[in-house]
Amino acid sequence: MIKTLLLTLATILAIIYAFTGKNHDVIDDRIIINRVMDAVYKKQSRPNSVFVGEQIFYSLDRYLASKAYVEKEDSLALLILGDWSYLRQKDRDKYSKKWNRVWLDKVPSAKYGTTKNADEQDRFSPVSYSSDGKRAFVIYTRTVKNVTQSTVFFFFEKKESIWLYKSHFVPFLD
Amino acid sequence: MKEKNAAHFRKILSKTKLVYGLVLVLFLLTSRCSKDTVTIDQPFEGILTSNSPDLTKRLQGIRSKYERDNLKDKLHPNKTDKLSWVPDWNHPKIQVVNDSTSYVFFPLIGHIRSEGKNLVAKQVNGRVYLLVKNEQEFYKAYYYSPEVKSNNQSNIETNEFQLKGFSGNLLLTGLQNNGNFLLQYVNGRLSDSYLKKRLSAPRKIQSIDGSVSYWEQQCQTVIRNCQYSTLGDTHCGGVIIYFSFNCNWPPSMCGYTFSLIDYSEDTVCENVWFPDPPTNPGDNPGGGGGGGGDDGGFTPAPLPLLSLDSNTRPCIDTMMGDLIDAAKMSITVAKIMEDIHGDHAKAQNAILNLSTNPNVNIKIGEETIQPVTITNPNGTTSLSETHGRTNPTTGNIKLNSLMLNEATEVAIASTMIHELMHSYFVWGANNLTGDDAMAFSDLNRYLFSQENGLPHPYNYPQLGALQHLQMAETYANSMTDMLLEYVHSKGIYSSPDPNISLWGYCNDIFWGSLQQTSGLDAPNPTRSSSNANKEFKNQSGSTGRKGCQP
Repeated sequence: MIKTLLLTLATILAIIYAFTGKNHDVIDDRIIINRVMDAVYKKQSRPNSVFVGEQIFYSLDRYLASKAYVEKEDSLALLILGDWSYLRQKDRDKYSKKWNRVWLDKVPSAKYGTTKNADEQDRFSPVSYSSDGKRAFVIYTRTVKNVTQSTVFFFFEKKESIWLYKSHFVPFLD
Repeated sequence: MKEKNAAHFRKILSKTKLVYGLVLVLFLLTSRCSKDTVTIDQPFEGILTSNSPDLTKRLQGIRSKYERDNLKDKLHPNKTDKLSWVPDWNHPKIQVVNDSTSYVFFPLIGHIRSEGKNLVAKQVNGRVYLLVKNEQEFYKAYYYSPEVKSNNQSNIETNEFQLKGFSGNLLLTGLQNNGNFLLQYVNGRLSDSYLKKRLSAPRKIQSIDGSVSYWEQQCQTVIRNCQYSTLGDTHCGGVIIYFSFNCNWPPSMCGYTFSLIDYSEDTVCENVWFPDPPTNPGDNPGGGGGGGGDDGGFTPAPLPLLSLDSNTRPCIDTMMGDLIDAAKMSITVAKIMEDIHGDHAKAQNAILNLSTNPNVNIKIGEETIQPVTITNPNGTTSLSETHGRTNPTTGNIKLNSLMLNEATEVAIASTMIHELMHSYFVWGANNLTGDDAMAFSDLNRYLFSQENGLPHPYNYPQLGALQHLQMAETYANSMTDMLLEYVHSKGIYSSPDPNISLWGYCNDIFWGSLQQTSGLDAPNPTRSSSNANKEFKNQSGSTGRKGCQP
């Protein structure tokens, strides 16, 4: 009986922990993705939603495999070697092919739903957080007919519970 | 006495001979001197180029001749007095062909008088220029695309006719002797079929001895080259001049009907070779491609070689040197710059200062970039293969080792041209100063804010897309020129695709990837993908030459 109670309690606590933790990340994800979209679209007409999928991390893998950061070619390399070095430690052998659709916050002054090109999509990697939860990284790509046109790495820092934009970089011109 | 007289006569004769001899010598001397004097008094002007020191004076000379000979009357339409064609004397474009023939293109502006106003008409479905050959021969140059369908459609095109990458015909009508010549262009350069006529012409001369008409002509008198106009502002597309070579009457637009304002009843000979024809359509010399050895008046300045990374196959170094040299890359880059900002001296100086800048330290190397297959949100899959990459800050280039292992030399050369364009422009814009930096920045005008004109930072989110959009829109044809020069230097003169020219084939190789990364459609998307794929995979039907193994 006690065992059953303890097991039930543990299960409930685990669920609550998982949900609260998950909810916290989801909220942060939404904040960061919305911030990126604000930076990318400015006054342009913007979409209502974006796609989030792990496969976008391939472009980070490509950057890391190039060892460009070892040569310290630019500020991006300094971030990857410095405060965002946790990005180099991720094990990303295989990525889920699943895409989640994330609906964006409404911006009062923005126009919606009439993007320039019906074939365009805005795609994001999942937001990657540092272990202390103070830094975040996300990759943004815009595709046309499923072909990537732009890839941008975005970096954020959390200060006093607020996510602040740090910088963004185009990692390469193909 | 007789002897005395004879001696006296011989003496006189001898004196007379001497006098005549002296007169003859004097005559020869004076005539020779006078010829030398003429040569000195009339200095050799040389072929007219955009860099000629007396350019302004000679352009004025062309204008004076046009006005003196009343050639404007030859441009007057025969069905209306409301339209007049006026050469835009302030915006001439000069082409030099075969180092011996100059062409000056003056855009013709159509002025229509309507309700007391003077309106400038849009030129739709065609475009006209005043063309002056060697500062002497005046032509009305009419560019048009062959009409493949009748004008029964309810909506007509109302955009200005563009000559970038022009495919179609050029009808040259002489304003001094009324001769007509028909030239064909494909993808912004003279078509191969037209160029073949040049090769056939000498054979015709040999076979028809003494004939003026050395070329087998197919002439016919036809009513062609019709122009229609609304002769007033339509309030939905401005005032329009609609060209129709085959005289298809356009449908009404916004309730306004078109009137026939001009046509010509001409003898058109479609197989006459026009000597040293203009290589590029209209006022589009840079983007149109096909310089054919024309240096545009620029002094070559070898662009700096990139230093080779360690562990990089040495043939990259050799190819890069050959490319920069054979493709006359500095000339082509300068021409692109001039085409955009119209400042010859600025373009020349920017290239010279990049060429001689001691601080250029761009590197080129190779690395393995694996292909990636992405499953898209709609369930389809996309294979992403990368041929090379350029650092947007430093301009350093990495070529994909997998591509180098597999592709033909032509494909590798095309990749190097693509990445070198990124690299030089990034380096020039980031590291040069003043006008030189501006020349490179101008080249990337999409990288500037449309709102305030300030440059986007190099980490601007749309940087990748915009660079490729710029490349596709502005200088894809010029890159093709570079590749063509390179493949010629390697002894390749025929296209592996029998349906297109070698230039068209080289153009396809660039568009194979540009049509994906720029978001723009290639002139022939399916063919571009196929031809590019053959070269990058070294498949049958490609040039088939492997050029850069480890």
